[in-house]
Amino acid sequence: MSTPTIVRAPPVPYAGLATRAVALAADVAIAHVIVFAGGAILALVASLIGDPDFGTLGRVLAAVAWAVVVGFYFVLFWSTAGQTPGMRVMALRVMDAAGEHPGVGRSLVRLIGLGLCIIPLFAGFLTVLVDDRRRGLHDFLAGTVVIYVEDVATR
Amino acid sequence: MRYSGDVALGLVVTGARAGRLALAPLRVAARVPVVGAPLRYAENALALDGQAARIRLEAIVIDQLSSPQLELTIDRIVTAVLDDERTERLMERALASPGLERLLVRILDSHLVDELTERVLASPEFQAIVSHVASSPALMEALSFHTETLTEEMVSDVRERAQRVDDIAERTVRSWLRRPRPQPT
Repeated sequence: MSTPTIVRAPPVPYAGLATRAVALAADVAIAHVIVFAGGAILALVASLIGDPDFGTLGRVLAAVAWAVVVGFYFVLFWSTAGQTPGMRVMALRVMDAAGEHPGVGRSLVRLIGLGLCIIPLFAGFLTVLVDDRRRGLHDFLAGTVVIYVEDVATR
Repeated sequence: MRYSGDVALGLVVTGARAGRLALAPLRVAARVPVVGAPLRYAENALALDGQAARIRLEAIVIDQLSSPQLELTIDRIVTAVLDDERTERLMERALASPGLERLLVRILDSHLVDELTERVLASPEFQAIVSHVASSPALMEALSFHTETLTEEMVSDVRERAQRVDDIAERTVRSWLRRPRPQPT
């Protein structure tokens, strides 16, 4: 009777707080470059047509446009590639429990969770430091984890 | 060898002088009314022969100077001189001399160099060379490759540092909470 050999799976390389913070900062910068470039083009067009007068409604619309563009940026990249450009630079990838890219719904939940993490002075990210799978509040809400891609690729 | 050559040259010079001395009485005789005319005739004939000989000699010299043989000969001489060890030693001595150094420093300090440099920099030919080099695909490719490599190195460095900070931050917070990181199973 042969003794069964126990094969231990290598530990999953969950990404830590600093790497994720750098990736998030890069993504926020990129998203805002897009927002400001779009806003500048729209303002230029408006100034060519007539004298632009941004009232309260205009400001509200601008804020909504900002939120939509930034939100779209994150949801689009999470759900299609599993990583945003900032995460790609830092070699990170977000995945669900099945190891797949989060879908659009899960990405939307994660986006809302991201906002909730940021509102209390980024306190929502502190759970990354104590959770065994280095999950933030948004990861708990969406059921996702973030891993180092390089480690996975080299294994 | 050198001595016999000198003797030969001396003989030629002496012969020329003797010839001139021999002509002196004839010049005097040429002024005498009766024998003068035939002598002047003979002198003119000699002068014409001399002139023809000179023209022919010039043609031969020109022909020889423009021949490829002469070029080959000069090339052989120059090569032999440059390959000679003595020439090499001479050049080494000249290059090591403080006089040459002083001369070069003086040339470099002169306004001539500045003016020449400015003229070269402002010349259309130089601008064309710079444009040609700057737009060459090989240079662009090399620049692009080095830029990519530099960017990759920077990004890799940022990643490594961030991952180190990840571990340090987590260890620190877990040590405060007395909650060690679980060992991988």
